[in-house]
Amino acid sequence: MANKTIIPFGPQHPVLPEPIHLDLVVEDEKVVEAIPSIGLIHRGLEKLVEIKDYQEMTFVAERICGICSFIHGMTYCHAIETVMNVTVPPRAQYLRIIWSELSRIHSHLLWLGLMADSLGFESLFMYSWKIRERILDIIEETTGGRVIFGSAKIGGVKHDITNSKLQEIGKRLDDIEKELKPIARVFIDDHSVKHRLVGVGVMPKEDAYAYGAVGPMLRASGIVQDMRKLGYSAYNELNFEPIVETAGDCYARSVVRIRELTSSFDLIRQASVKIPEGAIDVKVTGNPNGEFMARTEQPRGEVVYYVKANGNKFLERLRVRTPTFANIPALVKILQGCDLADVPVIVLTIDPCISCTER
Amino acid sequence: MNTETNTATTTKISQEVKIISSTELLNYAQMFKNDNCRLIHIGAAKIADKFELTYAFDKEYTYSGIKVIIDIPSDGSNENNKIIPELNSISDFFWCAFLYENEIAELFGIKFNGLKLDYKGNFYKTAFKTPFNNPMANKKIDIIRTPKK
Repeated sequence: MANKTIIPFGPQHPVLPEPIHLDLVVEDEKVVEAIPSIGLIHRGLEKLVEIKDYQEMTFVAERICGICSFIHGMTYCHAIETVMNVTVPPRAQYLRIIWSELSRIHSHLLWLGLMADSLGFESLFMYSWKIRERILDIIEETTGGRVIFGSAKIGGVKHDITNSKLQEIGKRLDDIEKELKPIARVFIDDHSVKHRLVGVGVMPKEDAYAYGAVGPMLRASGIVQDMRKLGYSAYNELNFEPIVETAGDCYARSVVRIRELTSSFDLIRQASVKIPEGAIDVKVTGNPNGEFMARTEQPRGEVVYYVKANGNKFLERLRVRTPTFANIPALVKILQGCDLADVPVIVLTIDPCISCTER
Repeated sequence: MNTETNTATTTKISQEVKIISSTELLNYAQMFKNDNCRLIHIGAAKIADKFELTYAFDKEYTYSGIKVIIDIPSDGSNENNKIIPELNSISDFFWCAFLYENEIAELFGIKFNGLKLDYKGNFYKTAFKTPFNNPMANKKIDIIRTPKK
């Protein structure tokens, strides 16, 4: 038996856009155990409920993450609206879907670029981000922001998109989707990409479920679970099926995200056609009293917002469970037995978002 | 842009959460495990002189919740003679619970017995020890919330 060596991986590593630390216990080139450490950038945003009132916390929620900022804000609003029994106008519900799906597309394109970069495939990385830039342009035109949308609001949304603008966006998305196809084909068919991803970091179906994995990590192992099926916003009025693969390896996780891009384009098209006329918000007065746990589907998986209020303008507790937090136990599991050289790629395939996790 | 008025109503709990005693926790965890449920999250809240721990489970999009309420020991303010509230860990049944339990241990100061992977206070790096249950942190918040004259 070879001697065991502990190799520190992160918090600063070329493949990590954000700091997470792993102690990798290795025997020769095989990882036998991985011990994660987080908390390097813990911000304590949940504690802010004690000095920011429940309306102001919408802005804080949006700033938890720079990638899925809108979905964070929207999920927080959804939790408060449920506690306060606020009915959000249908137009606002559809607008929330459009911005959520634009967030998903730009997040997945960001991830595809990072994945290509980790494989040393620089041109693929640049093409992915070039397309992502056009999605960010649409977000900027419709909300005024590229990172923080500032559109989420308790009782609806802050910005409207005119129907003519929605048609124009639809045409632009058609072009973007056409441009994306050859790039997606490279991710799916290219020999060098497959060589690094197929059969690497395999997560069996039973383990993915038992270890509490969420999002593409779970669906790539053959489990049909997508929180959009809960029907929040107006997802229950749109036609879509969760994207599922069965191999459970890094390649399957990549394919799930690539196929989800197509699904998101389709959802935006459906929402643009079905979006009703009408108000985009309702006035909300009073203070929340009660508790609720809102669950929505972010690009990385299920996010949970637990709010507890007592009729005061300050919440008693806000707890955010992010998808990356839920995927850490599964990551620890798939790193056991892998080659040391595959660690960066495996870590990347959970699409880690540490700023979310550290909130 | 039209705006409708919708005034907030009184208390509304949309998800059923069953309150159980701390001694029943492991039995419930076993029951959820046997029922092939998934652990969604464990959340803690400090409400007055008690801790509320909410355990959320899911099976095919159906939510199930249990809540354990434990007292904060009355002489907890005395650092030298501190009684640490304790609870059993459910990481025997749901291994992924170790993350949530370590987080709660460090933010609230609750000890979990039988924790599968115990970071022993090294999970988070915080300015205050147990910031969600720390008189020093609360004092700072009181100062911020007090209106300036």
